Amino acid sequence: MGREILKLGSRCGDSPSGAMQPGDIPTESRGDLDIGALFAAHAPFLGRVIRRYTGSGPHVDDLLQETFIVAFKKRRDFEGRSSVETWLYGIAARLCWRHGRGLRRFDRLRKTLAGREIQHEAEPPGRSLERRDAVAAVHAVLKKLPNKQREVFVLYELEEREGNEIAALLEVPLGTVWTRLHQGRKTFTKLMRRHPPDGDSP
Amino acid sequence: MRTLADPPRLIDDPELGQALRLTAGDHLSEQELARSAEVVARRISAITASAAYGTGAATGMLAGVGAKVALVLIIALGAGLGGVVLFLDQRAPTASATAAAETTTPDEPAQPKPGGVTVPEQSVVSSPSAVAGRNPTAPEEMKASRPTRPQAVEPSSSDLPAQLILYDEAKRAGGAGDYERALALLDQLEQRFARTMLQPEIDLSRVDWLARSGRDEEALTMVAKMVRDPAHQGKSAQLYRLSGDLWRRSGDCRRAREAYAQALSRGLPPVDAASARRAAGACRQP
Repeated sequence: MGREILKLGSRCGDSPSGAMQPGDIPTESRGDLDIGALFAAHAPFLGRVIRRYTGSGPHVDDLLQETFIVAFKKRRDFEGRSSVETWLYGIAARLCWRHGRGLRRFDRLRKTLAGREIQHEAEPPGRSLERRDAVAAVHAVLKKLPNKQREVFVLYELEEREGNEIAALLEVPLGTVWTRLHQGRKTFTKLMRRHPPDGDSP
Repeated sequence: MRTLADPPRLIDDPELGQALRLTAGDHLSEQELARSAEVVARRISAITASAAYGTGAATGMLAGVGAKVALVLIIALGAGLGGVVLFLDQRAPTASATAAAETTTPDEPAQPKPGGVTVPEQSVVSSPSAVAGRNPTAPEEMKASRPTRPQAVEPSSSDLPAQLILYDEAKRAGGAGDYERALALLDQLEQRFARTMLQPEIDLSRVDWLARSGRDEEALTMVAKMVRDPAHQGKSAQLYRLSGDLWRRSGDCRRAREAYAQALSRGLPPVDAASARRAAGACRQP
């Protein structure tokens, strides 16, 4: 069975360069990806973006795990037209958006039954109050951004990816990245000014 | 490493940077990652074991197929505290056995549509009407009415925010129905920034506003160029559909049907495809 080397973040169609580099992901064969190695390489990044897209809470672990279970089940569907990271990111993002939709439907039902605001943010213990407030405020505002703007905002501002990296990850033109970022920043700034982390509204 | 064209990050902003920095430093802990890795390993074990057991392929699994699934997890620690290695050695069943036994529940949502800029899903041409006194010519015969672009200028790192502000202003004008002003702002944008990376977005907005303001000939000329441009490949179906609507409005049903056929062959979403078929069937030569 042949061995193909997938460089982390590169397109699978690229020719292997020879000796394995750090971050290269060995595959037993096309369509039989080493999920363990993929988890080691990509779980920290995917876990962060899942938390930023959906807020803190036990669901983050669930969504992260589900991403890799789906990847395992769909491993034969991975044709190598995009990088492995792009493929995994796409799975995680779609699970996040579906989670958000389900949560909103559930929220509406619960609000109707309980007549009160539902708080989902579950901050891990041990964080300073200032840090918890700041992170909670940012997450709350991020949730209000449209998905496409939120994606680009998180990847650019928090993950500090370059524009062309984001374009490759989301499989959109670079100009689209910039327009979404521009809109996302406007909305984010406006909402953060309305509800700053210290609780004092202007 | 940031390229010259990337705008400054909000994390450096004096007002919002602190909150963003704190959020950026918010990672999943080693324990959280290790827990998730364990769960993933367990669930994959269950899936592969179930697949082998369900198809009676246990013997084949034990005999080994040469496909050894090793779940090796090494958590890279930013704090440099060491590593956690979880090794789970499983012999995978044959591919056909696994494929037959694994459930194929639709656990992954549908793929999002490619491309990021939307061409209006609803046709901007609401009803076919003959253009009195005019004899529309094919797009290739028409001359472009907008000014030619100046020589290419390398964009500087300070250009992008200015481009986005101008484009934003154009979109606001277009959204308010002031298409003349919106188009003039796009002209300004292209004259000032000849090789803007927003060009695909500009083209799509321009053709939309030309069509909405009744400048059908210019819109058709633009569409004819755009469908040949690789930058708009992902939108070619919608562009052909727009072309069909414009030809239908001008009364040229032959060209309208050709354009709708092109749109359908390139894969319109079901609702748009149904609408295009109806429009093609309903087109009547004046």
